[in-house]
Amino acid sequence: MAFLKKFFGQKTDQQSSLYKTNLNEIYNKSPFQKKQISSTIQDQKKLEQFELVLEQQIIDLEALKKLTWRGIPNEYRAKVWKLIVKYIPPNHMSQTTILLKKRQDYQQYIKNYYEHMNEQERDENERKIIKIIQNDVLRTQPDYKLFRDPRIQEMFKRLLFIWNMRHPMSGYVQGINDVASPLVVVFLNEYVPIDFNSFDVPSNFDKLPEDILIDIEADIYWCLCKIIENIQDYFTANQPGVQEAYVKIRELIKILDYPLYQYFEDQQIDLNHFAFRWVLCLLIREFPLSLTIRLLDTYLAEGDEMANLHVYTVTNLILKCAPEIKSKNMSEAVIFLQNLPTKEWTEVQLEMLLQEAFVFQDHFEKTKGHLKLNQANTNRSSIL
Amino acid sequence: MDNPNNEDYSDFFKVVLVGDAGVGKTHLMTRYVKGCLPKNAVPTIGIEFAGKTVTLQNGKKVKAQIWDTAGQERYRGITSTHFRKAGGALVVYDVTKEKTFESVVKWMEDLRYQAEPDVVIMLVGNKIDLVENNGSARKVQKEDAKNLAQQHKVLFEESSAVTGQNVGQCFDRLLQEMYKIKSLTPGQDNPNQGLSLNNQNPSQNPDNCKC
Repeated sequence: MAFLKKFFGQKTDQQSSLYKTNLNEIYNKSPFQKKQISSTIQDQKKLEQFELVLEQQIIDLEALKKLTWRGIPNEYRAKVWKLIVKYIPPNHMSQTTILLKKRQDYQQYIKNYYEHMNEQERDENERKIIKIIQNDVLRTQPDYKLFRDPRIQEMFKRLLFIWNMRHPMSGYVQGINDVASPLVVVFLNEYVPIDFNSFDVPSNFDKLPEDILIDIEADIYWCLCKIIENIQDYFTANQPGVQEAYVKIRELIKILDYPLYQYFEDQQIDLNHFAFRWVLCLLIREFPLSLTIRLLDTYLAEGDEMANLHVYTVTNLILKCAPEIKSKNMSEAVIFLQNLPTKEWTEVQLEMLLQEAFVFQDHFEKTKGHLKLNQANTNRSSIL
Repeated sequence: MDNPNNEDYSDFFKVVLVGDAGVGKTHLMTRYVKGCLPKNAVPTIGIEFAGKTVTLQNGKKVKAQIWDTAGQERYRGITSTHFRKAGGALVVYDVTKEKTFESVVKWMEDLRYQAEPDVVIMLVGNKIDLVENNGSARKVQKEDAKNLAQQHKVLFEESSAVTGQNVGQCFDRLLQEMYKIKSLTPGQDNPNQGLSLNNQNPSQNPDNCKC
Protein backbone atom coordinates (compact mmCIF):
# COMPACT_ATOMS: atom_id res chain seq x y z
CA MET A 1 0.00 0.00 0.00
CA ALA A 2 3.03 2.17 -0.40
CA PHE A 3 1.38 4.04 -3.22
CA LEU A 4 -1.18 5.46 -0.86
CA LYS A 5 1.35 6.60 1.66
CA LYS A 6 3.38 8.07 -1.13
CA PHE A 7 0.42 9.73 -2.69
CA PHE A 8 -1.08 11.14 0.42
CA GLY A 9 2.26 11.70 2.10
CA GLN A 10 2.97 14.58 -0.22
CA LYS A 11 0.22 16.64 1.31
CA THR A 12 1.07 18.83 4.23
CA ASP A 13 -2.19 20.33 5.38
CA GLN A 14 -4.15 19.10 8.35
CA GLN A 15 -6.68 17.33 6.28
CA SER A 16 -4.17 15.15 4.59
CA SER A 17 -2.68 14.07 7.89
CA LEU A 18 -6.16 12.92 8.69
CA TYR A 19 -6.18 10.90 5.47
CA LYS A 20 -2.81 9.53 6.41
CA THR A 21 -3.95 8.29 9.79
CA ASN A 22 -7.00 6.83 8.18
CA LEU A 23 -5.09 5.16 5.45
CA ASN A 24 -2.37 3.79 7.68
CA GLU A 25 -5.03 2.25 9.77
CA ILE A 26 -6.85 0.95 6.73
CA TYR A 27 -3.92 -0.58 5.00
CA ASN A 28 -2.42 -2.39 7.91
CA LYS A 29 -5.13 -4.90 7.20
CA SER A 30 -5.05 -7.45 4.46
CA PRO A 31 -7.97 -7.09 2.06
CA PHE A 32 -8.87 -10.73 1.57
CA GLN A 33 -8.79 -11.82 5.17
CA LYS A 34 -11.72 -12.75 7.37
CA LYS A 35 -12.39 -10.56 10.35
CA GLN A 36 -14.53 -10.91 13.42
CA ILE A 37 -17.40 -8.66 14.38
CA SER A 38 -18.45 -8.28 17.99
CA SER A 39 -20.46 -5.24 18.75
CA THR A 40 -23.79 -5.77 20.45
CA ILE A 41 -23.36 -2.62 22.48
CA GLN A 42 -22.66 -0.69 19.34
CA ASP A 43 -25.71 -2.22 17.69
CA GLN A 44 -27.86 -1.08 20.57
CA LYS A 45 -26.46 2.42 20.34
CA LYS A 46 -27.09 2.49 16.61
CA LEU A 47 -30.68 1.39 17.12
CA GLU A 48 -31.24 4.23 19.57
CA GLN A 49 -29.71 6.77 17.22
CA PHE A 50 -32.05 5.69 14.44
CA GLU A 51 -35.04 5.75 16.77
CA LEU A 52 -34.21 9.27 17.76
CA VAL A 53 -34.12 10.54 14.18
CA LEU A 54 -37.12 8.55 13.00
CA GLU A 55 -39.31 9.73 15.89
CA GLN A 56 -39.16 13.34 14.75
CA GLN A 57 -42.32 14.80 13.31
CA ILE A 58 -40.41 15.93 10.27
CA ILE A 59 -37.47 13.65 9.78
CA ASP A 60 -34.11 15.30 9.29
CA LEU A 61 -33.04 13.54 6.11
CA GLU A 62 -29.47 14.74 6.30
CA ALA A 63 -29.07 13.36 9.80
CA LEU A 64 -30.71 10.16 8.66
CA LYS A 65 -28.39 9.82 5.68
CA LYS A 66 -25.40 10.34 7.91
CA LEU A 67 -26.49 7.46 10.13
CA THR A 68 -27.46 5.35 7.16
CA TRP A 69 -24.03 5.63 5.62
CA ARG A 70 -22.72 3.37 8.39
CA GLY A 71 -25.45 0.76 8.00
CA ILE A 72 -29.05 0.45 9.07
CA PRO A 73 -30.43 -2.01 11.63
CA ASN A 74 -32.66 -4.56 9.85
CA GLU A 75 -35.70 -3.38 11.80
CA TYR A 76 -35.56 0.08 10.28
CA ARG A 77 -34.11 -0.55 6.90
CA ALA A 78 -37.32 -0.65 4.83
CA LYS A 79 -38.56 2.59 6.33
CA VAL A 80 -35.22 4.33 6.00
CA TRP A 81 -34.69 3.27 2.41
CA LYS A 82 -38.13 4.58 1.50
CA LEU A 83 -37.25 7.89 3.12
CA ILE A 84 -33.79 8.42 1.75
CA VAL A 85 -34.67 7.54 -1.83
CA LYS A 86 -37.52 10.03 -1.42
CA TYR A 87 -40.25 7.52 -2.08
CA ILE A 88 -42.04 8.77 1.02
CA PRO A 89 -41.77 12.32 2.41
CA PRO A 90 -39.98 13.16 5.66
CA ASN A 91 -43.16 14.58 7.18
CA HIS A 92 -44.96 11.87 9.16
CA MET A 93 -48.31 13.47 8.53
CA SER A 94 -48.20 12.94 4.79
CA GLN A 95 -46.40 9.62 4.65
CA THR A 96 -49.48 7.43 4.79
CA THR A 97 -51.30 9.42 2.14
CA ILE A 98 -48.38 9.33 -0.27
CA LEU A 99 -47.73 5.67 0.33
CA LEU A 100 -51.37 4.88 -0.29
CA LYS A 101 -51.40 6.88 -3.49
CA LYS A 102 -48.20 5.34 -4.82
CA ARG A 103 -49.46 1.86 -4.07
CA GLN A 104 -52.75 2.61 -5.81
CA ASP A 105 -50.88 3.96 -8.82
CA TYR A 106 -48.94 0.77 -8.96
CA GLN A 107 -52.07 -1.34 -8.81
CA GLN A 108 -53.28 0.60 -11.80
CA TYR A 109 -50.05 -0.23 -13.64
CA ILE A 110 -50.67 -3.89 -12.92
CA LYS A 111 -54.07 -3.54 -14.55
CA ASN A 112 -52.79 -1.52 -17.49
CA TYR A 113 -49.64 -3.34 -18.31
CA TYR A 114 -49.98 -6.79 -16.97
CA GLU A 115 -53.34 -8.19 -16.07
CA HIS A 116 -55.55 -7.34 -18.99
CA MET A 117 -52.99 -8.59 -21.44
CA ASN A 118 -52.72 -12.19 -22.34
CA GLU A 119 -49.90 -13.59 -24.45
CA GLN A 120 -51.57 -12.83 -27.79
CA GLU A 121 -52.24 -9.19 -27.01
CA ARG A 122 -48.61 -8.42 -26.31
CA ASP A 123 -46.48 -7.32 -29.20
CA GLU A 124 -43.43 -9.25 -30.21
CA ASN A 125 -41.01 -7.14 -28.21
CA GLU A 126 -43.08 -7.48 -25.10
CA ARG A 127 -43.28 -11.22 -25.51
CA LYS A 128 -39.55 -11.38 -26.02
CA ILE A 129 -38.76 -9.28 -22.96
CA ILE A 130 -41.16 -11.14 -20.71
CA LYS A 131 -39.42 -14.38 -21.63
CA ILE A 132 -36.05 -12.87 -20.78
CA ILE A 133 -37.40 -11.54 -17.47
CA GLN A 134 -38.98 -14.86 -16.62
CA ASN A 135 -35.78 -16.65 -17.34
CA ASP A 136 -33.73 -14.13 -15.33
CA VAL A 137 -36.05 -14.26 -12.34
CA LEU A 138 -35.49 -18.01 -12.17
CA ARG A 139 -31.76 -17.31 -12.10
CA THR A 140 -31.64 -14.32 -9.73
CA GLN A 141 -29.77 -14.78 -6.42
CA PRO A 142 -29.53 -18.53 -7.00
CA ASP A 143 -27.89 -19.13 -3.63
CA TYR A 144 -30.99 -18.24 -1.66
CA LYS A 145 -34.25 -20.15 -1.23
CA LEU A 146 -36.28 -16.98 -0.86
CA PHE A 147 -35.78 -16.29 -4.54
CA ARG A 148 -36.90 -19.79 -5.48
CA ASP A 149 -40.39 -19.30 -4.03
CA PRO A 150 -42.94 -19.30 -6.88
CA ARG A 151 -45.00 -16.49 -5.36
CA ILE A 152 -41.97 -14.27 -4.96
CA GLN A 153 -40.79 -15.13 -8.45
CA GLU A 154 -44.18 -14.22 -9.90
CA MET A 155 -44.15 -10.90 -8.05
CA PHE A 156 -40.58 -10.23 -9.15
CA LYS A 157 -41.36 -11.01 -12.77
CA ARG A 158 -44.39 -8.75 -12.82
CA LEU A 159 -42.65 -5.77 -11.28
CA LEU A 160 -39.70 -6.07 -13.64
CA PHE A 161 -42.05 -6.26 -16.60
CA ILE A 162 -43.95 -3.20 -15.41
CA TRP A 163 -40.65 -1.42 -14.90
CA ASN A 164 -39.80 -2.34 -18.48
CA MET A 165 -43.08 -0.94 -19.79
CA ARG A 166 -42.74 2.30 -17.85
CA HIS A 167 -39.12 2.92 -18.87
CA PRO A 168 -38.99 2.73 -22.64
CA MET A 169 -35.67 4.63 -22.70
CA SER A 170 -33.79 1.56 -21.64
CA GLY A 171 -36.41 -1.09 -21.09
CA TYR A 172 -35.56 -4.09 -19.00
CA VAL A 173 -31.90 -4.93 -19.24
CA GLN A 174 -30.31 -7.99 -17.67
CA GLY A 175 -28.69 -6.83 -14.46
CA ILE A 176 -31.68 -4.79 -13.33
CA ASN A 177 -32.92 -8.00 -11.73
CA ASP A 178 -29.73 -8.08 -9.67
CA VAL A 179 -30.11 -4.44 -8.63
CA ALA A 180 -33.72 -5.11 -7.58
CA SER A 181 -32.94 -8.25 -5.58
CA PRO A 182 -31.92 -6.60 -2.28
CA LEU A 183 -35.10 -4.52 -2.41
CA VAL A 184 -37.20 -7.67 -2.55
CA VAL A 185 -35.65 -8.89 0.70
CA VAL A 186 -35.76 -5.59 2.52
CA PHE A 187 -39.38 -4.77 1.74
CA LEU A 188 -40.62 -8.29 2.38
CA ASN A 189 -38.84 -8.16 5.73
CA GLU A 190 -41.05 -5.27 6.74
CA TYR A 191 -44.04 -7.62 6.86
CA VAL A 192 -42.61 -11.13 7.26
CA PRO A 193 -39.35 -11.33 9.21
CA ILE A 194 -36.57 -12.81 7.09
CA ASP A 195 -33.41 -14.44 8.37
CA PHE A 196 -30.65 -12.24 6.98
CA ASN A 197 -28.13 -15.07 7.06
CA SER A 198 -29.96 -17.87 5.32
CA PHE A 199 -32.53 -15.85 3.34
CA ASP A 200 -34.92 -18.78 3.47
CA VAL A 201 -38.60 -18.41 2.75
CA PRO A 202 -40.08 -17.29 6.12
CA SER A 203 -42.22 -19.99 7.72
CA ASN A 204 -45.33 -17.81 7.82
CA PHE A 205 -44.93 -16.50 4.29
CA ASP A 206 -47.82 -18.52 2.86
CA LYS A 207 -50.11 -16.75 5.32
CA LEU A 208 -49.18 -13.33 3.98
CA PRO A 209 -52.33 -11.89 2.36
CA GLU A 210 -52.18 -11.19 -1.35
CA ASP A 211 -53.00 -7.48 -0.99
CA ILE A 212 -50.07 -6.97 1.38
CA LEU A 213 -47.79 -8.70 -1.06
CA ILE A 214 -48.96 -6.30 -3.77
CA ASP A 215 -48.18 -3.35 -1.48
CA ILE A 216 -44.71 -4.78 -0.97
CA GLU A 217 -44.37 -5.18 -4.71
CA ALA A 218 -45.33 -1.53 -5.17
CA ASP A 219 -42.68 -0.44 -2.66
CA ILE A 220 -40.03 -2.50 -4.42
CA TYR A 221 -41.08 -1.09 -7.76
CA TRP A 222 -40.99 2.56 -6.70
CA CYS A 223 -37.68 2.28 -4.90
CA LEU A 224 -36.19 0.46 -7.87
CA CYS A 225 -37.29 3.38 -10.05
CA LYS A 226 -35.56 5.81 -7.69
CA ILE A 227 -32.32 3.82 -7.61
CA ILE A 228 -32.15 3.33 -11.37
CA GLU A 229 -32.76 7.06 -11.91
CA ASN A 230 -29.21 7.55 -10.63
CA ILE A 231 -27.69 5.02 -12.99
CA GLN A 232 -30.09 5.25 -15.92
CA ASP A 233 -27.30 5.53 -18.48
CA TYR A 234 -25.77 2.24 -17.39
CA PHE A 235 -28.69 0.63 -19.12
CA THR A 236 -29.31 2.66 -22.25
CA ALA A 237 -27.86 1.65 -25.62
CA ASN A 238 -24.09 1.11 -25.51
CA GLN A 239 -24.10 1.81 -21.76
CA PRO A 240 -22.64 5.35 -21.86
CA GLY A 241 -22.75 5.50 -18.05
CA VAL A 242 -20.51 2.47 -17.78
CA GLN A 243 -18.11 3.91 -20.35
CA GLU A 244 -17.97 7.14 -18.39
CA ALA A 245 -17.26 5.23 -15.21
CA TYR A 246 -14.44 3.40 -16.98
CA VAL A 247 -12.78 6.67 -17.95
CA LYS A 248 -12.77 7.78 -14.37
CA ILE A 249 -11.62 4.43 -13.01
CA ARG A 250 -8.71 4.33 -15.47
CA GLU A 251 -7.63 7.81 -14.50
CA LEU A 252 -7.84 6.98 -10.82
CA ILE A 253 -5.82 3.79 -11.18
CA LYS A 254 -3.24 5.68 -13.16
CA ILE A 255 -2.84 8.15 -10.32
CA LEU A 256 -3.18 5.80 -7.39
CA ASP A 257 -1.28 2.74 -8.60
CA TYR A 258 0.69 3.44 -11.73
CA PRO A 259 2.41 0.02 -11.78
CA LEU A 260 -1.03 -1.58 -11.81
CA TYR A 261 -2.09 0.68 -14.65
CA GLN A 262 1.06 -0.31 -16.51
CA TYR A 263 0.42 -3.96 -15.78
CA PHE A 264 -3.07 -3.74 -17.29
CA GLU A 265 -1.60 -2.08 -20.35
CA ASP A 266 1.17 -4.65 -20.75
CA GLN A 267 -1.22 -7.53 -20.37
CA GLN A 268 -3.80 -5.86 -22.59
CA ILE A 269 -6.38 -6.25 -19.88
CA ASP A 270 -9.40 -4.11 -20.52
CA LEU A 271 -11.86 -3.01 -17.86
CA ASN A 272 -14.54 -4.64 -19.98
CA HIS A 273 -12.91 -7.98 -19.26
CA PHE A 274 -14.03 -7.92 -15.66
CA ALA A 275 -15.50 -4.65 -14.44
CA PHE A 276 -18.57 -4.40 -16.64
CA ARG A 277 -20.71 -6.45 -14.29
CA TRP A 278 -19.17 -4.77 -11.24
CA VAL A 279 -20.18 -1.35 -12.48
CA LEU A 280 -23.51 -2.23 -14.04
CA CYS A 281 -24.91 -4.33 -11.18
CA LEU A 282 -23.59 -2.05 -8.40
CA LEU A 283 -21.27 -4.88 -7.26
CA ILE A 284 -24.34 -6.83 -6.22
CA ARG A 285 -23.12 -9.99 -7.94
CA GLU A 286 -19.77 -9.83 -6.22
CA PHE A 287 -20.89 -10.02 -2.60
CA PRO A 288 -23.19 -12.24 -0.56
CA LEU A 289 -26.73 -10.88 -0.37
CA SER A 290 -26.44 -9.69 3.23
CA LEU A 291 -23.45 -7.54 2.26
CA THR A 292 -25.10 -6.14 -0.85
CA ILE A 293 -27.91 -4.91 1.37
CA ARG A 294 -25.33 -3.28 3.61
CA LEU A 295 -23.62 -1.84 0.52
CA LEU A 296 -26.89 -0.29 -0.62
CA ASP A 297 -27.32 1.41 2.78
CA THR A 298 -24.22 3.45 2.02
CA TYR A 299 -24.96 3.91 -1.68
CA LEU A 300 -28.50 5.12 -1.04
CA ALA A 301 -27.26 7.49 1.66
CA GLU A 302 -25.24 9.16 -1.07
CA GLY A 303 -28.40 10.23 -2.90
CA ASP A 304 -27.58 11.70 -6.31
CA GLU A 305 -23.91 11.01 -5.67
CA MET A 306 -24.45 7.28 -5.55
CA ALA A 307 -22.93 6.57 -8.96
CA ASN A 308 -19.94 8.67 -8.04
CA LEU A 309 -19.16 6.77 -4.85
CA HIS A 310 -19.74 3.56 -6.78
CA VAL A 311 -16.95 4.49 -9.19
CA TYR A 312 -14.56 5.03 -6.30
CA THR A 313 -15.65 1.80 -4.65
CA VAL A 314 -15.03 -0.18 -7.83
CA THR A 315 -11.66 1.52 -8.21
CA ASN A 316 -10.76 0.64 -4.65
CA LEU A 317 -11.73 -2.96 -5.22
CA ILE A 318 -9.44 -3.10 -8.24
CA LEU A 319 -6.60 -1.57 -6.21
CA LYS A 320 -7.11 -4.24 -3.56
CA CYS A 321 -6.68 -6.92 -6.19
CA ALA A 322 -3.34 -5.51 -7.31
CA PRO A 323 -1.08 -7.68 -5.12
CA GLU A 324 -2.96 -10.79 -6.22
CA ILE A 325 -2.97 -10.16 -9.92
CA LYS A 326 0.38 -8.58 -10.63
CA SER A 327 2.06 -11.99 -10.55
CA LYS A 328 -0.48 -13.47 -12.93
CA ASN A 329 -0.67 -13.55 -16.70
CA MET A 330 -3.62 -12.10 -18.58
CA SER A 331 -5.86 -15.18 -18.46
CA GLU A 332 -5.12 -15.90 -14.82
CA ALA A 333 -5.69 -12.31 -13.81
CA VAL A 334 -9.00 -12.04 -15.66
CA ILE A 335 -10.20 -15.33 -14.22
CA PHE A 336 -9.27 -14.11 -10.73
CA LEU A 337 -11.02 -10.79 -11.26
CA GLN A 338 -14.14 -12.46 -12.61
CA ASN A 339 -14.32 -14.73 -9.58
CA LEU A 340 -13.29 -12.51 -6.68
CA PRO A 341 -13.01 -14.05 -3.24
CA THR A 342 -15.37 -11.32 -2.04
CA LYS A 343 -18.16 -13.87 -1.52
CA GLU A 344 -16.29 -14.71 1.69
CA TRP A 345 -16.04 -11.13 2.86
CA THR A 346 -17.39 -9.89 6.15
CA GLU A 347 -19.29 -6.71 6.85
CA VAL A 348 -16.18 -5.16 8.36
CA GLN A 349 -14.24 -5.70 5.14
CA LEU A 350 -17.03 -4.23 3.06
CA GLU A 351 -17.27 -1.20 5.32
CA MET A 352 -13.55 -0.72 5.00
CA LEU A 353 -13.84 -0.84 1.23
CA LEU A 354 -16.52 1.85 1.34
CA GLN A 355 -14.74 4.06 3.80
CA GLU A 356 -11.56 3.99 1.80
CA ALA A 357 -13.54 4.72 -1.36
CA PHE A 358 -15.04 7.68 0.44
CA VAL A 359 -11.59 8.94 1.40
CA PHE A 360 -10.56 8.80 -2.25
CA GLN A 361 -13.76 10.43 -3.41
CA ASP A 362 -13.47 13.18 -0.86
CA HIS A 363 -9.91 13.84 -1.86
CA PHE A 364 -10.35 13.82 -5.62
CA GLU A 365 -13.64 15.61 -5.75
CA LYS A 366 -12.25 18.41 -3.60
CA THR A 367 -9.16 18.72 -5.70
CA LYS A 368 -10.73 18.20 -9.08
CA GLY A 369 -7.60 19.39 -10.79
CA HIS A 370 -5.99 16.06 -10.01
CA LEU A 371 -8.46 14.28 -12.09
CA LYS A 372 -9.02 15.99 -15.37
CA LEU A 373 -11.88 14.17 -16.84
CA ASN A 374 -12.22 14.86 -20.44
CA GLN A 375 -15.41 13.89 -22.16
CA ALA A 376 -13.42 13.14 -25.27
CA ASN A 377 -11.67 10.41 -23.35
CA THR A 378 -14.84 8.40 -23.33
CA ASN A 379 -14.32 7.44 -26.91
CA ARG A 380 -10.68 6.57 -26.81
CA SER A 381 -9.36 3.06 -27.07
CA SER A 382 -10.79 0.77 -24.48
CA ILE A 383 -7.43 -0.58 -23.42
CA LEU A 384 -6.73 0.70 -19.93
CA MET B 1 8.57 -8.71 -23.58
CA ASP B 2 8.36 -6.36 -20.65
CA ASN B 3 6.60 -8.71 -18.38
CA PRO B 4 7.69 -12.30 -17.92
CA ASN B 5 4.06 -13.24 -17.49
CA ASN B 6 3.09 -11.95 -20.86
CA GLU B 7 1.31 -14.47 -22.96
CA ASP B 8 1.87 -14.46 -26.66
CA TYR B 9 -1.47 -13.91 -28.28
CA SER B 10 -0.63 -15.99 -31.31
CA ASP B 11 -0.62 -19.02 -29.03
CA PHE B 12 -4.26 -18.69 -28.32
CA PHE B 13 -7.27 -20.06 -29.99
CA LYS B 14 -9.84 -17.49 -29.11
CA VAL B 15 -13.38 -18.83 -29.19
CA VAL B 16 -16.47 -16.75 -28.49
CA LEU B 17 -19.83 -18.09 -27.45
CA VAL B 18 -22.81 -16.16 -28.75
CA GLY B 19 -26.55 -16.63 -28.98
CA ASP B 20 -29.75 -15.38 -27.40
CA ALA B 21 -30.20 -15.06 -23.63
CA GLY B 22 -30.82 -18.33 -21.86
CA VAL B 23 -29.77 -20.78 -24.59
CA GLY B 24 -27.09 -22.25 -22.34
CA LYS B 25 -23.83 -20.59 -23.41
CA THR B 26 -22.40 -20.45 -19.89
CA HIS B 27 -23.45 -24.05 -19.29
CA LEU B 28 -21.65 -25.16 -22.43
CA MET B 29 -18.48 -23.33 -21.49
CA THR B 30 -18.45 -24.61 -17.92
CA ARG B 31 -19.26 -28.15 -19.01
CA TYR B 32 -16.39 -28.08 -21.47
CA VAL B 33 -13.81 -26.35 -19.31
CA LYS B 34 -14.58 -27.75 -15.88
CA GLY B 35 -16.41 -30.93 -16.80
CA CYS B 36 -19.45 -30.00 -14.75
CA LEU B 37 -22.27 -27.47 -14.71
CA PRO B 38 -22.05 -24.03 -13.10
CA LYS B 39 -22.91 -24.34 -9.42
CA ASN B 40 -25.50 -21.68 -9.84
CA ALA B 41 -26.69 -20.48 -13.18
CA VAL B 42 -26.95 -16.70 -13.40
CA PRO B 43 -27.43 -14.58 -16.50
CA THR B 44 -24.08 -13.49 -17.88
CA ILE B 45 -23.53 -9.75 -17.71
CA GLY B 46 -20.92 -8.49 -20.16
CA ILE B 47 -18.48 -11.30 -20.72
CA GLU B 48 -16.97 -14.21 -18.86
CA PHE B 49 -13.82 -15.99 -19.60
CA ALA B 50 -12.18 -19.39 -19.27
CA GLY B 51 -9.11 -21.15 -20.56
CA LYS B 52 -8.32 -24.74 -21.33
CA THR B 53 -5.45 -26.62 -22.87
CA VAL B 54 -6.76 -29.07 -25.41
CA THR B 55 -5.10 -31.97 -27.19
CA LEU B 56 -6.21 -32.14 -30.79
CA GLN B 57 -6.67 -35.35 -32.79
CA ASN B 58 -3.20 -35.03 -34.26
CA GLY B 59 -1.72 -34.92 -30.78
CA LYS B 60 -1.00 -31.19 -30.93
CA LYS B 61 -1.82 -29.22 -27.84
CA VAL B 62 -3.46 -25.84 -28.10
CA LYS B 63 -4.62 -23.32 -25.58
CA ALA B 64 -8.25 -22.38 -26.00
CA GLN B 65 -9.35 -19.05 -24.64
CA ILE B 66 -13.12 -19.14 -24.37
CA TRP B 67 -15.21 -16.00 -24.08
CA ASP B 68 -18.76 -16.36 -22.95
CA THR B 69 -21.03 -13.40 -23.72
CA ALA B 70 -24.31 -11.92 -22.52
CA GLY B 71 -27.17 -12.82 -24.81
CA GLN B 72 -29.51 -9.86 -24.47
CA GLU B 73 -29.58 -7.62 -27.48
CA ARG B 74 -28.83 -4.52 -25.40
CA TYR B 75 -25.38 -5.92 -24.71
CA ARG B 76 -24.55 -6.67 -28.30
CA GLY B 77 -22.44 -3.52 -28.60
CA ILE B 78 -20.23 -4.46 -25.70
CA THR B 79 -20.03 -8.17 -26.42
CA SER B 80 -19.21 -7.67 -30.08
CA THR B 81 -16.08 -5.70 -29.13
CA HIS B 82 -14.82 -9.03 -27.81
CA PHE B 83 -15.27 -10.68 -31.19
CA ARG B 84 -12.03 -9.06 -32.26
CA LYS B 85 -9.27 -11.60 -32.84
CA ALA B 86 -11.73 -14.46 -32.36
CA GLY B 87 -10.75 -17.30 -34.65
CA GLY B 88 -13.75 -19.41 -33.76
CA ALA B 89 -17.28 -19.04 -32.52
CA LEU B 90 -20.11 -21.18 -31.32
CA VAL B 91 -23.46 -19.71 -32.29
CA VAL B 92 -25.82 -21.33 -29.85
CA TYR B 93 -29.59 -21.71 -29.98
CA ASP B 94 -32.07 -23.67 -27.92
CA VAL B 95 -33.67 -26.56 -29.86
CA THR B 96 -36.88 -26.03 -27.88
CA LYS B 97 -37.18 -22.32 -28.71
CA GLU B 98 -37.71 -21.31 -32.29
CA LYS B 99 -37.01 -17.62 -31.64
CA THR B 100 -33.48 -18.38 -30.55
CA PHE B 101 -32.93 -20.17 -33.86
CA GLU B 102 -34.31 -17.24 -35.82
CA SER B 103 -31.60 -15.04 -34.27
CA VAL B 104 -28.65 -17.15 -35.35
CA VAL B 105 -28.30 -15.54 -38.77
CA LYS B 106 -27.93 -12.15 -37.13
CA TRP B 107 -25.30 -13.53 -34.77
CA MET B 108 -23.40 -15.02 -37.69
CA GLU B 109 -23.48 -11.73 -39.57
CA ASP B 110 -22.14 -9.91 -36.50
CA LEU B 111 -19.31 -12.39 -36.26
CA ARG B 112 -18.36 -12.22 -39.92
CA TYR B 113 -18.27 -8.48 -39.58
CA GLN B 114 -16.27 -8.18 -36.37
CA ALA B 115 -14.21 -11.33 -35.84
CA GLU B 116 -11.21 -12.53 -37.86
CA PRO B 117 -12.01 -12.75 -41.58
CA ASP B 118 -11.52 -16.51 -41.60
CA VAL B 119 -13.42 -17.09 -38.37
CA VAL B 120 -14.65 -20.67 -38.00
CA ILE B 121 -18.28 -20.70 -36.98
CA MET B 122 -20.24 -23.60 -35.61
CA LEU B 123 -23.96 -23.60 -35.17
CA VAL B 124 -24.91 -25.45 -31.99
CA GLY B 125 -28.42 -26.60 -31.10
CA ASN B 126 -28.33 -26.96 -27.33
CA LYS B 127 -30.66 -28.57 -24.78
CA ILE B 128 -31.27 -31.80 -26.69
CA ASP B 129 -31.77 -33.50 -23.33
CA LEU B 130 -35.17 -31.79 -23.24
CA VAL B 131 -36.31 -33.42 -26.47
CA GLU B 132 -34.86 -36.88 -25.97
CA ASN B 133 -37.94 -38.35 -24.30
CA ASN B 134 -40.38 -35.76 -25.50
CA GLY B 135 -40.21 -35.22 -29.22
CA SER B 136 -42.92 -32.57 -29.20
CA ALA B 137 -40.67 -30.27 -27.16
CA ARG B 138 -38.40 -29.93 -30.16
CA LYS B 139 -39.16 -26.73 -32.05
CA VAL B 140 -36.13 -26.64 -34.32
CA GLN B 141 -35.66 -29.67 -36.54
CA LYS B 142 -32.16 -30.97 -36.92
CA GLU B 143 -32.49 -31.04 -40.71
CA ASP B 144 -33.48 -27.36 -40.84
CA ALA B 145 -30.52 -26.36 -38.74
CA LYS B 146 -28.22 -28.55 -40.81
CA ASN B 147 -29.47 -26.91 -43.99
CA LEU B 148 -28.98 -23.46 -42.57
CA ALA B 149 -25.46 -24.37 -41.52
CA GLN B 150 -24.68 -25.64 -45.02
CA GLN B 151 -26.16 -22.56 -46.58
CA HIS B 152 -23.93 -20.34 -44.45
CA LYS B 153 -20.96 -22.68 -44.76
CA VAL B 154 -20.61 -23.22 -41.03
CA LEU B 155 -20.18 -26.33 -38.93
CA PHE B 156 -23.10 -27.83 -37.09
CA GLU B 157 -23.67 -29.91 -33.97
CA GLU B 158 -26.36 -30.56 -31.42
CA SER B 159 -25.52 -30.84 -27.76
CA SER B 160 -26.69 -30.96 -24.20
CA ALA B 161 -24.66 -29.04 -21.65
CA VAL B 162 -26.81 -30.61 -18.93
CA THR B 163 -25.95 -34.22 -19.76
CA GLY B 164 -22.63 -33.33 -21.37
CA GLN B 165 -23.69 -35.04 -24.58
CA ASN B 166 -21.59 -33.92 -27.53
CA VAL B 167 -20.20 -30.86 -25.76
CA GLY B 168 -16.60 -31.95 -26.10
CA GLN B 169 -17.22 -32.75 -29.75
CA CYS B 170 -18.49 -29.20 -30.44
CA PHE B 171 -15.45 -27.45 -29.04
CA ASP B 172 -12.90 -30.03 -30.19
CA ARG B 173 -14.17 -29.99 -33.74
CA LEU B 174 -14.18 -26.21 -33.80
CA LEU B 175 -10.63 -26.03 -32.45
CA GLN B 176 -9.54 -28.67 -34.95
CA GLU B 177 -10.83 -26.52 -37.80
CA MET B 178 -9.27 -23.40 -36.32
CA TYR B 179 -5.97 -25.20 -36.09
CA LYS B 180 -6.21 -26.29 -39.71
CA ILE B 181 -6.86 -22.75 -40.87
CA LYS B 182 -4.16 -21.26 -38.69
CA SER B 183 -1.50 -23.68 -39.89
CA LEU B 184 -2.51 -23.14 -43.52
CA THR B 185 -2.43 -19.38 -43.30
CA PRO B 186 0.91 -18.11 -44.53
CA GLY B 187 2.74 -15.59 -42.38
CA GLN B 188 1.11 -16.81 -39.20
CA ASP B 189 3.11 -18.19 -36.35
CA ASN B 190 2.97 -21.89 -35.95
CA PRO B 191 0.26 -22.16 -33.33
CA ASN B 192 2.08 -25.03 -31.70
CA GLN B 193 5.04 -22.94 -30.71
CA GLY B 194 5.80 -21.82 -27.19
CA LEU B 195 2.80 -23.28 -25.48
CA SER B 196 2.92 -23.87 -21.81
CA LEU B 197 0.78 -26.76 -20.77
CA ASN B 198 -0.12 -25.94 -17.25
CA ASN B 199 -3.81 -26.64 -17.48
CA GLN B 200 -5.09 -30.08 -16.72
CA ASN B 201 -7.79 -31.47 -18.90
CA PRO B 202 -10.71 -31.94 -16.52
CA SER B 203 -12.52 -34.36 -18.80
CA GLN B 204 -9.58 -36.70 -18.31
CA ASN B 205 -9.67 -36.18 -14.55
CA PRO B 206 -13.33 -36.29 -13.66
CA ASP B 207 -12.56 -36.37 -9.95
CA ASN B 208 -10.66 -33.18 -10.19
CA CYS B 209 -13.70 -30.99 -10.64
CA LYS B 210 -13.67 -28.21 -8.10
CA CYS B 211 -17.25 -27.10 -8.48
